[in-house]
Amino acid sequence: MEIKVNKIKTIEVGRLIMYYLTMGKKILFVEDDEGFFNLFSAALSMRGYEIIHVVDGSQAVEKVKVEKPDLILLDIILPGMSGLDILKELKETEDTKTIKVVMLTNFGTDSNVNKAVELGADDYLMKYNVVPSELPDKVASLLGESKDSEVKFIS
Amino acid sequence: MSAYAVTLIIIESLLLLVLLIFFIYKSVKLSHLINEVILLRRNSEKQNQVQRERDDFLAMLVHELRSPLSVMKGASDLMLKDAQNLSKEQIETLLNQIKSSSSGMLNIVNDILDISKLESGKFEIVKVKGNINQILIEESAYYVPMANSKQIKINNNVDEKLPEFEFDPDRVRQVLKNLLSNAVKFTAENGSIELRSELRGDMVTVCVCDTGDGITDDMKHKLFHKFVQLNNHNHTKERGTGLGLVIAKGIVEAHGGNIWIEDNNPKGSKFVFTLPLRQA
Repeated sequence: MEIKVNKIKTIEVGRLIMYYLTMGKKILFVEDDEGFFNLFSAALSMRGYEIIHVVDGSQAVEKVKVEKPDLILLDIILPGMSGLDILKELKETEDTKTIKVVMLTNFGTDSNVNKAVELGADDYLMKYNVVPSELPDKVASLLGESKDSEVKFIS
Repeated sequence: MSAYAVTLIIIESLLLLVLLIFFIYKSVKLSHLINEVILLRRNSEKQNQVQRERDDFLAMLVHELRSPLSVMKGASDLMLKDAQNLSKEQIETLLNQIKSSSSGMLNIVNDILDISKLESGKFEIVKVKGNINQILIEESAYYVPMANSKQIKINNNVDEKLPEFEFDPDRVRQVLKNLLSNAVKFTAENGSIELRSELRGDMVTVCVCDTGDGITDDMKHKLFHKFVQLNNHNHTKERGTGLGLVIAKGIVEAHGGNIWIEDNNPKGSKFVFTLPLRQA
């Protein structure tokens, strides 16, 4: 019985630490697939990140300027404006060019990966390969919150 | 002239005639052969195109099934690994997502089954006497919340005097679901959709009109063929297997009716289908 109580306490403390580390960190998630949005946003908000959802690509840049997120998760095929065009505009704008951008997509074609890297994407993830419970770690390392801040490209 | 010379001339001309006949015969045979080669090539091109369309269709299908499957797998993994870190609301959202992903997949599988039944001639309808207006109103009500989220108005304009007649209510609902969901999908915000029923001669006519982008004349016929999907421009990513209209056509034709697309004035498209009032 005591062991059980201790275990719960450890989990609670761990959760509090995680929340403390990520407190106030905003992630802007540009995604029109409701399924992937619900899945990844649950995984990220579990760690205390604040998620802002944008569906229409043409509204993404404006939303970034208003919300000033710490990190952007960006789908490529979007209604209104493509993710690569959004990335280009963000990286060319003085106010937004330092914000970390992770491309999140279905199609890992070499030309898309190369173009995203060329345009300044900080990482490129295939939706099918992402393990939701590992996504917060990935984000944390990109934001320099964990010891392992090394960024690896997944192709 | 000697008899010898005459015989020689006759033999020579006979020989020439035989040669001529031989050449004519050969050239006719050759032209047949050439025609056959051309036909064969044309057929193989057609087959190649059908094969290409099948390949594209299969690739699209795999993608349509892989997305919801990945989401379902991811959501269940997350709940198994991190149940203690997820709030009650988050778990509810994930469970609802699994439910909607799986029902989306089931719809795709059902569509494929319908298509294979249509192809093998095993597609059957069960006609019952009923009021089609009631079905139109019920189906349009189902799409109101989805339309409202895009500020689209759905107007019902049904002919109250339509008599009851025999049709397959479930299958007609399926046609309406397809036409209405397409109309909501492809109509921009603040647009409108009109659902109309009327009697034209011996045919009950139903129209689903929208104020979307409309459909080019070229696509108007193609959309009812298998493996064809409306090409989406400017990066819109509307989901669908492109089978809905093929099935709708099969259902309407099984009733003895017709389905086609017209231009809607001043903007958008009008999907019209007819069902016979009396049985043939």
